[in-house]
Amino acid sequence: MSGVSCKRVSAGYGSKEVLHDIDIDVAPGEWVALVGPNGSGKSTLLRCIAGSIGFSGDLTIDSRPVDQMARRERSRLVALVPQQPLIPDDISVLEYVLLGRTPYISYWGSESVADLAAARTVMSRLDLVEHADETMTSLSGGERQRGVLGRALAQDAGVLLLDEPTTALDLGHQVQVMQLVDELRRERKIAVLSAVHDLTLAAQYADRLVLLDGGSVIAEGAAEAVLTPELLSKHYQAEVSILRDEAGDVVVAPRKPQLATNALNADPTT
Amino acid sequence: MSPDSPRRLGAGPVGLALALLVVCAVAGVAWGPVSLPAGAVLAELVDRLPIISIDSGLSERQAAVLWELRVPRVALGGLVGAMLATAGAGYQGVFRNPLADPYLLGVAAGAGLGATLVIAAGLGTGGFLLTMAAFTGGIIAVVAAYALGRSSGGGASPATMILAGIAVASFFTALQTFVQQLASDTVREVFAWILGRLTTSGWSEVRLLTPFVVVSAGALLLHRRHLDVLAVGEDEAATLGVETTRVRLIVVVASTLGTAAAVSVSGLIGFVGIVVPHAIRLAFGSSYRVIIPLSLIAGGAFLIAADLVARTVVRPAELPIGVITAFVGAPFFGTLLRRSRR
Repeated sequence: MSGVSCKRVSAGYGSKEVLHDIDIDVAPGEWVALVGPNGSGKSTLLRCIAGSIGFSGDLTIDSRPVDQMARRERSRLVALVPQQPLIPDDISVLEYVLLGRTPYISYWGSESVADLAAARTVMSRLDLVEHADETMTSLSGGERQRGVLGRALAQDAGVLLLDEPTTALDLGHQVQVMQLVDELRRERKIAVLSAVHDLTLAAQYADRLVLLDGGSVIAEGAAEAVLTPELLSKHYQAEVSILRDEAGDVVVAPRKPQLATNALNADPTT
Repeated sequence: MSPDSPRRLGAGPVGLALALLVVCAVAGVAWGPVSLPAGAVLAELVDRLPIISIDSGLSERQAAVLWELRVPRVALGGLVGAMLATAGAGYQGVFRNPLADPYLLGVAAGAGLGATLVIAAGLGTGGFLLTMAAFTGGIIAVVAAYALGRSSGGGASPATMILAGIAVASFFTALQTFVQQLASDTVREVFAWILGRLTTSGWSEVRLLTPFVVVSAGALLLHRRHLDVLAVGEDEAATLGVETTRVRLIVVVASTLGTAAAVSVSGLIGFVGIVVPHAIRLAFGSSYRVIIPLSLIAGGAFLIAADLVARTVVRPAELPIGVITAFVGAPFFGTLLRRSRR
C-alpha cells in the first residue's frame, strides 16, 4: 500500500527527544490532520517524514523505508509546504514553482521542456498563470500561499505534508486553501498529512484527526472522537464548547474563563 | 530571455560582459609607462592568433615589454578579478548573506599572516616562498574557522560559520599585527602587500594561478543552479532533494581555494568580491545561474581596468590596486544602488 506509514518513530534535536514512538498511517487520497498545542511535535513529525531531520523507528512511503532512499528519490515521493517558507527576494512565481522540479533535474542539468510544462500545468490548476512573471513577494498572502503550494505540487509527490498552511491567511483565504487541498487530494489521490491550528477547519476537512501532546499520540480518529471537551481542556489548557454547525460538522469554540469574584473587586483604582 | 526559460543566462548579458572584458584587456595591454603604438599592439596581438600573420612593426624591446610585462599582467588581473568575484558570489549564495565576501572565513587574515612572516623574516617581498606562505596561511585560517563552526552547537549553520570566521580572522590579524610590529623595518613592504598589487615576473604567477581558477570557477559554475535552490533555505532545499551539506562544502572549498590562490599572488585586493556580484545582481537579478558566470567575466574586466588606472594615474609610480578598486568601485556601486532601490 502506498501513502505514509510511521511505526514507533522517535526523533528530536540534539539529545532532546521531541517525538516518542509515533504510529501514524495515511492512505492515498486520505487527509489526516495533526492537532495539538504548540510544541507538541507536529512540525517535528512533518520534518522527519520530509527528510530534514533524522529519526529512529520505521518510516515508509509507498511501503519503502525512507532511510534507504536517496534524498532526491524521497523528494519525488513527499513534498512539504513549510509554515514560514523563505522566499528569495526577486524570484518570480514561475521560477518558484519550477524549484519543485528540482528532484527531476539531473545534478549537472537544468529544467527540461517537460519540467516547464509540469510547472505550467500546476500553475493553471492553481490559477497562477496570470501571475507567472510577478515576484512571489509582490503577491497577496493568499496568492503567495498558492505559489508555495504550487512548488510542492510540482514535485509530483504522492504524499503532501502541510505545516499550518493557513496560519497567515484571513478567513476567506483559509477556506480557499483548505478547499484547494481537498480537491487536489481527491483528484490526484494524494495522501495529505497536515498540522492544523484551527480545530474547526481540521474537523471540516480531514478524514481523521491525530491529537499530539508532549511528542506522543494522545487520541486518534474521527473529529467527534478527538475533539472532546475533556481531551481539549486537558491538553490545550483551555475551556471549549463543542458545537455542531448545520452540516453536522464539529465546531470548536473557546470559552472565556470566568473571573473569580475577588479578582473583580480586588483593586478599585484599576 | 524567452518567457519559457526563466533563470537562464541570456546571450545579451554575456555578450556585453565579454565585450567589456575585451575592451579592458586591449586597453590594459596598450597603455603603460612605456608608450607603444596602439595599432602596432593590436597587430601584434592579432599576429599571435592562429593562421593570421601580420607584421606589427614593433621593435624587439617593445615586443618584450608587451609579451613579458603587459600581457601577463593583464592576464593576471583578469584571473584574480574573475576568481575573487566568482568566489564572492559563491560565498554569498552558500551563506545566503549579501554581505558575504571571499574573505569571510578568514582567508585574507591567514594569507596576511603568512606573507607577513616571510617578509618580516627577510625572506623576500615576492616570489614563490611568499606565495606559498600566503596560500598556506589562508587555507589554515579557513580550516580553523570551519572546524570551529562545526564544533559549535549550531552544527555549521551559516550564521555559526560567519561568526567562527570573524573570530579566526580577528585572531590571525592580531598575530599578523604583532609580527609586523616586531619587525618594524619591513612595515612598508608588508603594508604594500596587504593593499594588493599585480606585479608579475613574466608568466610565473599566471601559470601558478590558472589551474586554481579553472578548477574553482569550474566547480562554482557547475553548482550555480544548486545555489538557487539553497536560496529557499537549508531545510527546504533538502526536501527538494538537494544534498545541502555536500553542495555547501563544495562551494566553500572551491571559493576558498581559488581565493587563497588569488590572494597569494596579488595581496589583499578588496571590494571586487562583493561589488561585482552585487552590481550584476542589481542589473540582471539574483539568480546564481546568471550571477556566477557574469561575475567570472565582469570580475576580470573590472580588475584589469582598476589595474590600468593604478599604474597610469601617477606614473611612473603605481598606486596600490586595492585603493583603486574601492575608489572607483564604491561610487559606481552607489550609483547602481540608488538607481535600483528607487
